[in-house]
Amino acid sequence: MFVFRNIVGAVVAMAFSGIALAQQTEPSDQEAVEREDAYFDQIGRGAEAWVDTCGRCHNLRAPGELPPELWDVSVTHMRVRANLPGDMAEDIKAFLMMSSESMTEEPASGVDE
Amino acid sequence: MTNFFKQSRHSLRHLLHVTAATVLVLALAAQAHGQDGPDPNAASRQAQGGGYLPRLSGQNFSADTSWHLAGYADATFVFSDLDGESSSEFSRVRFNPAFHFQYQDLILFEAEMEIENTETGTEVVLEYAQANLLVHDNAVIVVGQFLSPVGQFQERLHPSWINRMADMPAGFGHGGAQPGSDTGIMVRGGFNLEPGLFTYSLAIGNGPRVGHEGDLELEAFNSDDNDDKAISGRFGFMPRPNLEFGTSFLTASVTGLEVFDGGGDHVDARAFGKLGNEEEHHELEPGEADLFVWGLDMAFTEGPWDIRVEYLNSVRDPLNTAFEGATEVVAFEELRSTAWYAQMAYRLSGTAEFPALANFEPTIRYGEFEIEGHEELAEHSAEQRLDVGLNYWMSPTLVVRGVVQSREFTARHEGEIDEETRMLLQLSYGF
Repeated sequence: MFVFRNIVGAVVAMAFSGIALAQQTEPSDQEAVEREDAYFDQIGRGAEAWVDTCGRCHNLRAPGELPPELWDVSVTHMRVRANLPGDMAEDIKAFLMMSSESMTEEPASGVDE
Repeated sequence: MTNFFKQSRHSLRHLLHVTAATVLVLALAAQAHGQDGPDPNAASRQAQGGGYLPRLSGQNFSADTSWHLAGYADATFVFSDLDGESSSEFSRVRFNPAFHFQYQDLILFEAEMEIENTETGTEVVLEYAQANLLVHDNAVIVVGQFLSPVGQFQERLHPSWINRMADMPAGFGHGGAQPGSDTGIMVRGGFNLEPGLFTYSLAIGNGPRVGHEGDLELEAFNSDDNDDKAISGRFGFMPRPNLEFGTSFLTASVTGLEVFDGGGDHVDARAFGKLGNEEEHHELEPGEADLFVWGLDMAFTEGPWDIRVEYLNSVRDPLNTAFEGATEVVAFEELRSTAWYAQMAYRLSGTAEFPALANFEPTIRYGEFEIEGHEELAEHSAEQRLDVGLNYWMSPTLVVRGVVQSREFTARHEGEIDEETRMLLQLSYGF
């Protein structure tokens, strides 16, 4: 009886541990999804802000004109010059860096040239 | 009445001093508060991608420092017809590299120099050299030599690849009503009003000086010739993304010059018809005068349209000063000047039926520069100017343009040449 109770106790404990682990894992996945959604929301906002704010003074420069890391510093320069709020500049930066990166990405290995 | 306005200007300047000091203190406090983490989102960004922003591929841009070489270059050919006397020349070649160095999301240092050919050789001028502290989403502190925030042309439109014409509007270049630059400290930023935007720039600097002709040098100096700091700024409001209204100001004191020593032919100042009589001239000492500039600007930039209007008004109080060639200090009367322009450009990409024309952009600009209180300056610079041009955009930052310019000098004496027609051809590249 004692042994049986211990086995039941261990199973119950493991079950609760599993539930607890599952509870930890689920939000984690959820967070990743939310983070990805937030990132793509940011890209969308950035694309819109890029058209609205950059075109206010000069022609729009194509994202592929600079490599991603140069958009980082270039947009900071424009943030100061055009008095853009920091969060808006971050959105534009995210859009330009992502677009530039996708435009300058090398073909995956194994792809016929 | 004049005293009332003068006192009002003094009160306004004191109010601006207090406001500027308050904003600076608040901004510095914000920076101090954020010293442990100037970018509150940095940790989450690091967690997401190990870099500055979440990455879609394996590339990593997490380095703390980055830099960028930007700028512009242009070459201009001018054909001029000055009342029947024609000339043609390759007049201007400029190379304006701008260096941007950034450390994290904390500071951006940037500097631009202008390398230009002149009649006497190569000229190198520092346009600006400034450190930008990114203290808050809505505030950047700028320290150093910066372009004047007054108006929209100087700070945002003057690079030739951005400017829709081959030169500056009348009264907006050197010797005009537009302040060019200053040395000091500035707080600037913007607030997203969803969908509108509010922007501000507020600067304290050494301020302008009296020029060698008794005019104003509205450029940056690395020392101050009086105790009064210049305060300038601009406030912009965009009710919708493509429509902007701005108002700006500059208030400062300028100090009269001592008589120039040696060199050149001395001129009897009385011959210039300034105020006062002979006895008074011998007793005059250089004095100080208040300067107040205010302006309004508007921009509409929707689709292929680019429409801009800008107005500047400048008043310098009466001033005792010497000028180049004068043998004594002279009492100059109040110096007033106004400069304005209206400009319209239409990119033919808006006419989809003619794709071959999509890269062309017709432009037109009319502007006036008026000066009262300095006869020689008015005679030289006051004008009405009409520009009609055509841009051909080879790429978004590479343009060839042709401009026909008609100038009428409005303060010339009878018998003097008061009309000029010019044709300007320009190649400009922004990088």
